[in-house]
Parts: sequence; C-alpha cells; structure tokens
Amino acid sequence: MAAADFRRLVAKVEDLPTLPRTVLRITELINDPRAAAKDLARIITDDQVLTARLLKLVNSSFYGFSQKISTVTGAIVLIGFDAIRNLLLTTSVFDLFPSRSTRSRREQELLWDHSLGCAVGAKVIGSVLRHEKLEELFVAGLLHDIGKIVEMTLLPGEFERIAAAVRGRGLLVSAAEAEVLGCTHADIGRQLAERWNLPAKLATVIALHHSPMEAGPFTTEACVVHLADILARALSIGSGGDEKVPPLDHAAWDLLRLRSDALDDILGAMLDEFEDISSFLR
Amino acid sequence: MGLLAIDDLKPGMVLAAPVRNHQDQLLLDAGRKVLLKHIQVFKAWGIRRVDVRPGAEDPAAGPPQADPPAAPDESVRRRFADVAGDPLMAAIMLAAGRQLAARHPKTKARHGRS
Repeated sequence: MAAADFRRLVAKVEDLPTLPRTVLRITELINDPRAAAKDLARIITDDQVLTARLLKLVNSSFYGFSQKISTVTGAIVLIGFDAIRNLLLTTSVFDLFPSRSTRSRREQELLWDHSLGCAVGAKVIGSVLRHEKLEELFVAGLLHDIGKIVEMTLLPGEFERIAAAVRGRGLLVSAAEAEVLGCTHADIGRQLAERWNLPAKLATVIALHHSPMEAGPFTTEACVVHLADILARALSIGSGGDEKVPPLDHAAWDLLRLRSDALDDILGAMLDEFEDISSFLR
Repeated sequence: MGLLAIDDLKPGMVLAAPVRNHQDQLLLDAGRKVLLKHIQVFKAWGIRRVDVRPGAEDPAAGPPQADPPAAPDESVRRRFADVAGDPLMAAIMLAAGRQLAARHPKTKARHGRS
C-alpha cells in the first residue's frame, strides 16, 4: 500500500465513531472495584432502549433462565458485570454505522447475520470446550469482521473495488482487500478496537481470526472464532462478502481437540441458536 | 482393475487416473494410494467411479466406511470449491449439508443469501 493511501486510511479510522456515552460510562464503572450493581443499574435504566434490549436478551433462550427477570438489577446480579458490558457492546456497535444506500444496507444486513452466526458458533464451540466465558466468545465472534463495516461505510469506493474483485475473479475477501487496500479487515478491525479501548483479548481475536495460532495468550479464543467463522460460512448464515469457505487452520483444529463427529451437533446447535437469538438482537 | 464404483473402492488401492470433482479440481492424483480419508472426500464430492490400478489392496489400511455419506447439495459444495482435497473440510461440508438438509429439505440453502 502506498504511503499516501495508508495515511488516508488512518485518517478515516480517526473519523470512526466513538462508542455511545452510556457504554463508555458502563465500561468505566465496571473497571471500578467499588462499583455496585445498583450503580450500574442506574446508568442503564437512564437509557430506555438499552434497558429494553437487556431485559429482552436476559429473558431469551440465550440464557435459558427458568424464571422471568423483570428488573435491570436482577439481570445484573444474575449474569454479572462483564456479561452486561459485552451485551451492551453487542447491541450498540452496529448502530454506529449508518447505511448510505439500499444496497449497502442489504450488505450490512448480510454481514450482521454472518457476524451473529459466528458469534453463536463461538458460543456453541465454547460450550463444548467448557470455556468459562461464553459471552466473551460471543462478542468476539460478533465483532470479528467489524473492519468490513468500516470499509463499507467509510471506504465505499475501495469496498466496491474489493467486491468487484471477489465477484469477477473469485477471490476471497481478504485477498482482494490486500490488493486494493494493502491491508485487510482484520487490520482495520484492530485499529478500531484500539480506538475504542476494547480489551486486549478482543482486539487480538479481531486482528488474528484468520491466523489464530499467532494470538499468543489468546490463541484458544482466536481458534474458536476462526472455526466459528468457517462453520457460519459452511452453513451460509449471512455473508462475509464472498461465497467461499476458507481453509481451516489444522493447528487450530488440533489445539481445540474437537472430534469431527462433534461437527453435526455443533452445526445443528448453531442453526437453532441463530434462529432463536437473531430476533432479540435486531 | 479399471473403473470401480466408489462403494467398491477400498483403502490401499492405487489410482490409475487422477480423481477430480465436478469443477475439475484435483482431489487425488494418479499413482497415489487411496486411504480411508480419501474415500470420504470422494464421497463428499459425489464421485461415483474411480480408475484404479490392478493389484491387491492393502489389508492393513482398514475397512471402508460402512455407511457411505450422501453428497451434499450443490450450493453447499460450491462454497467448498477452494478446499476440495482437505479431509477435515470435507467432514465440515458433509455435516453442514446434513444439518441444512434436515431442517430445510426442499430449500436446502435457506440462509444462502451470499
């Protein structure tokens, strides 16, 4: 990538939206060891939309609680501070990027479905692995392609050239991005994650979901999202911009120690959970 | 031995001609010994016959799979075109094909909006 292009790209990233004030306040509060559930509840209940989304989600099959949860404080006590931050991040992020045309709106919807499919896949794989932080995997899956949203909304000319190369020459999106931008959505996603001060684990998984074995202390999480991305493509849940399933990193598969006869259960659960949860997050 | 039905292909047999999928992508080259994982890949791609060299099979290579899997829908196979010869990807393709077909037997690629 030419230096001028790179400067232009960095300048675009500087223009990226910041997280909503409520989510920032919540992130600060969660990092404060003195914070109590009622402090967090007060901030959330100030925002009617967030309150409604939170209560819908904690009452959905995603959590599977037997009793109805009717208060924000009850939700916080049940699912914890970190899970709340992840949920709010989840429900806020895609609102930040307005669609500029019917076509890009359609592309964003497909990408949203793909992202949600990957998120559900990461959670399902995490359940099989008995991973302790399923929400964390879910959010990492949901945000893994956030760099593509940046391309769609802030780099529309370049995005169209990428799409043309994918359509015309059958390239994977990553290869077309490398040609047009000199970097990929994973690199752009990392810049966005850093601008938003997202946790290092999340930024790393976003940056390395196509090369998960390079993710150092977060290799397991990167491998889970790498596999979930491929499985969501295999099921054709939404679209990440191309129609092809990229190769699975065999070292990542070996690290997760999954058996191939577990694939049917994982894929079946992904389809079921995607249907369940997509209505709650729209 | 010549052309052999895929159900009669056994591990240890040696290919007399390359095996290619419907998109002409190479799955296994001529002269290669067939392993169980190759048979699974061939079945995943809907290969019906292969050309094998005359000679005894290798009994140590193990029996073929008892229940041959059905090849998945064309829309599923098309997505896996770039990873045609990878046994692990073939396993993912077969499992995805089964799950989609089980839920939507008439319109198998229900989510297929890509």
